[in-house]
Formats: sequence, C-alpha cells, structure tokens
Amino acid sequence: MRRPLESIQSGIAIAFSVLILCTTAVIGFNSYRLTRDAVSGTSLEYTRQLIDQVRYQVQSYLDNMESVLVMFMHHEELRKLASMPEPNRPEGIGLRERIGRTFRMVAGSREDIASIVFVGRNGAIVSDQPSGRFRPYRELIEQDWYRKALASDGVVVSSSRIQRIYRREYRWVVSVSRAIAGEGEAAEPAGVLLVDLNFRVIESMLDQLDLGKQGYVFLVDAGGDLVYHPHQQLIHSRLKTEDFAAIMRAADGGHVTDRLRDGKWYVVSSTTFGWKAVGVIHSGELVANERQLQLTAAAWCLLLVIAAILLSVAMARRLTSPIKQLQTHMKEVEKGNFDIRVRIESQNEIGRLARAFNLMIAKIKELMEQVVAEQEQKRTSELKALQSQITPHFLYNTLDSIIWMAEVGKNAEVVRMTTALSRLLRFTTGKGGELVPLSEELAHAESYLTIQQIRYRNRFSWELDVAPDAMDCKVQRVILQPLLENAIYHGIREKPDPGMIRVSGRREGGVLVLEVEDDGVGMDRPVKLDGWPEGAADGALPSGVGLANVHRRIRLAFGAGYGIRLLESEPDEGTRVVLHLPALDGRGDPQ
Amino acid sequence: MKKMWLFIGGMLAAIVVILLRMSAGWEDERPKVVFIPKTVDTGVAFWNVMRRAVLTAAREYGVDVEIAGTERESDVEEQIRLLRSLVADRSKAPDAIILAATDIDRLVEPAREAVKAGVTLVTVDSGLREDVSASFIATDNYEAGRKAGRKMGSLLGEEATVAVVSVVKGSATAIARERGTADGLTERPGIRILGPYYSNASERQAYEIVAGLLKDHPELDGVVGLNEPTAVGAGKAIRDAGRDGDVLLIGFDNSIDLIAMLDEGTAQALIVQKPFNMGYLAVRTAADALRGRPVTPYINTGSELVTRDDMFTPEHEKLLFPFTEPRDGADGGGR
Repeated sequence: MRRPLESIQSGIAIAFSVLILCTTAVIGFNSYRLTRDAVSGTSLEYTRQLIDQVRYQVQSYLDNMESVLVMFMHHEELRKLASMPEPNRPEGIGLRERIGRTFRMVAGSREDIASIVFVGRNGAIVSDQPSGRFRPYRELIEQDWYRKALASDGVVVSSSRIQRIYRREYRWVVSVSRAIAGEGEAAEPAGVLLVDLNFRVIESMLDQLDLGKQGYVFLVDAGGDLVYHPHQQLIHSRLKTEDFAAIMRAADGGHVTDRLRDGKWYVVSSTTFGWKAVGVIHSGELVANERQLQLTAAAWCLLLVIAAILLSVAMARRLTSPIKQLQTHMKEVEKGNFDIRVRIESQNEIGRLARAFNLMIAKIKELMEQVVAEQEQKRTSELKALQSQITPHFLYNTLDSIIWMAEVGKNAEVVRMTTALSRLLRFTTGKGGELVPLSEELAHAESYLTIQQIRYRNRFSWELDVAPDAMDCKVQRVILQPLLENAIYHGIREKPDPGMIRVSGRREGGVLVLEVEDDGVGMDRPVKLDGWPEGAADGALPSGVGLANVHRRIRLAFGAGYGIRLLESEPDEGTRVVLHLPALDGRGDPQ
Repeated sequence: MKKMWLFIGGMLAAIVVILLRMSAGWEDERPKVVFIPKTVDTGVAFWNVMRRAVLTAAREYGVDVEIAGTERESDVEEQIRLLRSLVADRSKAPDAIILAATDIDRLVEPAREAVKAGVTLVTVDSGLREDVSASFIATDNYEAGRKAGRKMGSLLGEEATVAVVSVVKGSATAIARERGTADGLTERPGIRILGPYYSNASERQAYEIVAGLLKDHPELDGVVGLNEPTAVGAGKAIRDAGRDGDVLLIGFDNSIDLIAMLDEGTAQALIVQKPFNMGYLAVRTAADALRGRPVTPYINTGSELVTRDDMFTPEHEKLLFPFTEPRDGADGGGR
C-alpha cells in the first residue's frame, strides 16, 4: 500500500510548510529582535533623560547653595565681624546676633539649606541656630570644609558627609564653603562661610526615581567616591561593586552610556563641578514587557504558519489534481475503456503529459482496431480459400466426369477418380488444425491433380520433388491447391501440347521453400516479381485472386517475412511461383 | 490525507507547546516571604536598617515581604506563637520565612514544624542550635565579641576588672558574643571578668545593672555592652555616675545615643554590624532557595570596630549613620 505521506501532494505541502515555517521563524525572530532593540533604545533614552534631570536637580541645588554663599560674601556686617580682633566683646555679640538672624531668615526660607555657618579666623562663630550648641572652635577649624576653603580661592564642595557643627547632632549634608575676606583691602581671608545642603533632599529625590525593579541611581563625586548609593553597605563590604572606571570615563558635563559585562547598563551624566549621576538599569528590564513582546511575535508567527500550511495544502492540491484526474482516467483505461479523453487545458508539464496520454490512448485504440480488422480479414480469406478449394462447380464437373466414365465403362478410371475425390473431400473437410504436415498437403495436391488429370484426359502430367527433411514441416491446409489450379486453368488448359506441373519443396535454413512451376502458356506479358505487389488490386494480375489469397493467408498466419516470394512468368514458356513459409517441425516451432 | 492532517496538527501542537513554555514563568506568582525580626520596635536602628534592606532586596528580587514580629526581644513565647500561627494553615503559609530567633533552643521545634510545612527557612542575625534553616546569615558574633574583648584589653592594660553585660540569656547571638568577649579579654591574663549579666535588651535594665556594678565594684575599669540598648543603658549609668572616661565602655551597634557617646568620649569603641547586608542577603538567599538555586548554609556579614578617631572617615560615616537615621539628636534608645 502506498504510504500517504509519500504522495506528491503531501510532499509538496510539507516542503512548502517547512519552508514557510523556517522563513516565518527567521522573520519573526528578527522583527521581534528589532522591536526589542527599538524598545530598549527608547528605555535607554528615557533613562538618559531621567539621569539628566537628576544631574540638573543636583546641580541646581548646589548652585543655590553657591548663590547663598555669594550673597553673603559681600555682606558688610559679616565682613565687619570677620575683621574684629575681639569678636566676643559686646559689640561683636550684637553683630553676631544680627547676622545670625539674617542667616536664620535665609535658611528658614528654604528647605534644602541645612545650615549656614560662619567661622572666622578670629574665633567668631555665627550660625542660623542659637549659639551654645557648637562644638569647640578648635574642632571646627580642623574640619575639611574650613581648611580646604581657606586654602582655595573659590568654592569648595564636599562629598556627602556628616555635619559636625553642633553637639549631638549628626546630619547628612553636602557642604559648600568659601573663604571670606575681611573689611578693607586685606588679601588674607578672614574666615570661612559654610552653607550645608540638606542631603535628605537629594536622597528623597533619588529614592523616588523608578528605574525598574533592579534599577537605581547613585552619585559619585569628582574623586570617584560614592556620594549616595542605595546599597552603600553592600559596596563597602565588597558584596557589590560598581565599575568606577567606566563611570569616570564620562567627562565633566558629558554623557556615557555603557553596557557592562554583567548585563547592566550605566547611564552617566556629569555635573560641571565633577559629580556624576549614574543610572543603573538591568538589560532584562530595559524591555518592560519583553515577555508580552515575545508572545505577540510568536502568536503572529503561529497565525502565519497556520495560514501558510492551509495555503500549502490548497496549492499542493491544485498542483496535483490534474495528476489525480490522469490517474482516474488511467484506471478507466485499465478497465478497457479507450474512448476517454483527458481534458486538461493547462500548458504545463502535466498538460503535456495529458496530451501525450491522449495520443497514446488513441494509438492503442487504432492498433486494437487494426488487430480486430486483421482478424476479420484472416477469417474472410480463410473462408474464401475453403470456398475456392472445392467449388460446387468443381464438384459437379468431377461428378459429371465420373458418370460419363461409368457410362463408357471406364471402370478403372471411375475408381481412381472417385477415390481421389473421396480423399480430397476428406482432407478439405477433415478435422484438425489449420496446419498440416507437408506430406499430407502433398497427398491432397496429388488427389487434386489426379482428378484434374482424368478430367483433362491426361493433358498434363506432374512431378513432385520434395526433400525428405521438408516433409514434416507444417503448412497451411490447402495452400498449394490454388497454385495448382492456376497452373492448370491459366497455363496448361490453353496449351495445345501436354503440359507438365512441377511441385518442389525444400528447407533453406529456417525457411520452407515451395515451388509450383508449369510450362503452360504463361501470362500475356513477361512478369518477374520479387514478392507479391502489396496493395495491388486482387485482379491486377492474371490469376490474381487465387495468388493474392494464398499470399494473404500466409502473411496473416506467419507475418510479413513470408508469403509469395517470387512470381515469374514468360509468355509460352510457363509460370513459376515460389512460396516461403517458416520451416516448422511437428509441433509448429521453427527448427 | 488523514496522516497529512495529523502531521500538520502535530506541527501546530509543537508550536503551541513552545509558546506555552515561553509564557511559563510569565505569570509566576511572586513568592511570599515573612520577615520576623527580633523586635518591630522602630527605635532600634539596627532593625530599622535591616528592615529597609529587606524591603530593598524584596523589590529587586521580586518577592513580597511582610514584616511580623514581637515588640520586645525577650518575648520568646510570643515569637514561637507567631511562627506557629504562620504555618498553622498550610495553604496560607508563606513560601519563605526569614527569622531572627530570640532563643537558640526554644525556636528549634516551631522552626522545624515550619520547614515540615514546606516553608523555606532562612535565619538571620540569631540562629538556632540545630541545623534547621536553609541558610544562616549573620555577623560572626564570636569574632565580633572577640574584637570587643581585645580592644578593651588593649585599652586597659594588664590589671583590670571588666563587666560584660549581655542581652537575653539563651539567645545564640548573645552566647557567641559572650564567649568571644570573654576570649578576647582573657588574652590578657590580668583581666578579671564580671558577669555576664543580662539586660533582656532593655536600656533601663542595663542602666540598673551597671549603676549597681559601679556602686558594688568601685574598682570596675570597663564595661562591654553586647547590644545597642544595653550599651546605651550602660553608657548612661557611667555618665550619670560621673565616671565617663574613667570607666571605659565598648558597645555593639550604632544608635544616635551610642554615636554621641563615642563622639563625646563616654564610649571608646563600637562594634558595628552590617544589618543592611544581613537583611539584603537574607532576602536574596531566600529568593535563591525558592527558585531552586543552591545557597550557602552560612554567610558571615562581618563587623567593624569603630573608634572615636576613625568614626568620621567616609566609610565609617556611612556605616554609622545610615541615611534613614532620624536626623535630629532625639533619643532613639530602646525601651
């Protein structure tokens, strides 16, 4: 049984499906990737804007601190205080109170200012908070913000630090400090003014940012130290690390977007004073709904594949339906119906195949008709042959001759003729097949010649010359008689002198050659034919009907290679006819 | 033809299976984790920081955290009851519990019941006598105690008397610290140890113990307070007796009070743990265990010895003053 998957239709459908499946998979994957890249690009861009915002915010906080500093740099009372040699005298105390009130006013108006403090080299301390809670003066002037500001010309910005101005108060601040000149033209700084930015402002701003579940923002100062990091303890314990080298690559005021080895993205934005805001996003979170994206892509692929498979099946069906039609028609032909025609209009290979099939069927039909016609012809000529052998006329003549001889008392002749007639009749009506041994055919020929010899009163004699090895060959029943009849009626009868009929037979290889020769009047013109003129009308030659019948009978039985081989005739000389038959032994097989 | 359709059907089925596999994990439920600190008292900085770390890590590792606990560290019974009630109904039991055990022995049985109920157990800060939890994340308390003992020894010199005020009797943390402190102190043979006394994590009790000791043992040279409220209570007693700087104090952990004591010279050193790391790693470990990844059975989060001289270095600043600390010097002592 044919396995269904081996059919051409399945083959085509599967090949198409697989092809489309692969294509769809590749295209689907690519488009998914492109979408993902686009989305992650957007996410990165969003992060970049967010980090820029952070930088801007941080920058503006510090700019605010700086502007407060600048505001007080030229504050006359402050400069006066700074220049006082003895600030703890009543005059200085009053001044300090007034300055403290101004500080308090400024600091109170803004949430981001943690404190404003002035520490003079003369020992004066003023802040926005009531005095008395200060740490000792010598401790304050040891602190970085003081020392660095004195040593520097401009503004000093600290990292995030614990403010240590007041006793028992520890605040996270970012300190902005600057040396302040005293009154007059003195070049020496007279003290340091400090404005602390409440770090909680920055911290809560950073806390509110959303960079995905695992994303976060941290700040690094110009020296590469952390200003703020949500996982500060992890970093200090080395349980977590940040790639500071990558961060420091960002120039002041510049950007860097970097993909790290562990799948994290750094988006770095740098402030003008060297702090860097770093956004960290995990690449897995860049595409927030990656899973959904994947599913959408996959669903589309699935849909396309289903459509493709249905299409392939339909297409395969369309392609193979003519073949199936052809197959159905062939089955019809197998059953023997040759009258069908396959109607396939297409010009492709299958169309051509169908046309060839139609041609073939037509040819087969023609051949079959030909075979039928030949069989018909064979039967007709067989019948004719038999009819020609013993015509009623011949029988009457023979019987008339017997009566006449009996009347005149030619008893011996009567006996001979009657015996010959009896043999003749027995042979022609005899049982057995179409083929008989040559010996029997020759006996029949002799019976016939005997009758004719008596009828024509010995006007001819005959001679049989047959090779013994030819005697067993099979020949068609009554194949010689028409030739003998011709020899007598057309050759001997017209001849004034007694004639002679020679019948000879021999084997030449696989061929049995039979010759009938007479020395009668011959034809009215010389004839020499190598073989029978095929296609000539039966009456085209004298005695044609008989010869033509013989020839046709042999050809029908044995094929085109046999039949009358030679027909030779000379006026007044005689006629010779040579027959070729296959040399068949007793069983009818060629020897 | 039938087989043809079978083939197509098979192909589609395969695609559907692939899709389903891809979508698996999309809707996976966020694991539920319950964090049981020793105390839910918001006045104790140590637990505040750990709570913050737990919440940070929970967001990062995609777990839902619920915090449940007792008001007082010494309330062992209540913690046992709480743990039992969490796993009483298996269907409502959380996926994981992060436990800071108030008692090294008495919590073993309820913990075992929880594990039996299918809960992933991670112990943090204070563990259990028996190996019940998937992982234990804590300071190496013996090591921390030894640092305190050694420091005290090196400050006092040869002949001295030191009192050790511990926390809750039976707590794993306390036991390890006691041993460590004792070992650290006895590295110097001239040192005599008083105690351990137990404050039950109460500042008031610690105050009373130390005040009593100062009266009864005028020769007392130093006190080691093994947790934050204990150290604060001890510091206040020393200060109130007017003996700061004379009787040395080494405490554990960091609150504003303790820091101020260090700053002002009442305390000479603090052993600071890393509660943020503890909380963070506890959640990370629980999340890993829930996702079937291998976890380390013990993680030492370490401790730092901070003295007055190095307390304002950037690293120690960030350890001592977590960003979430209350910023005005209000009293944050235990109650």
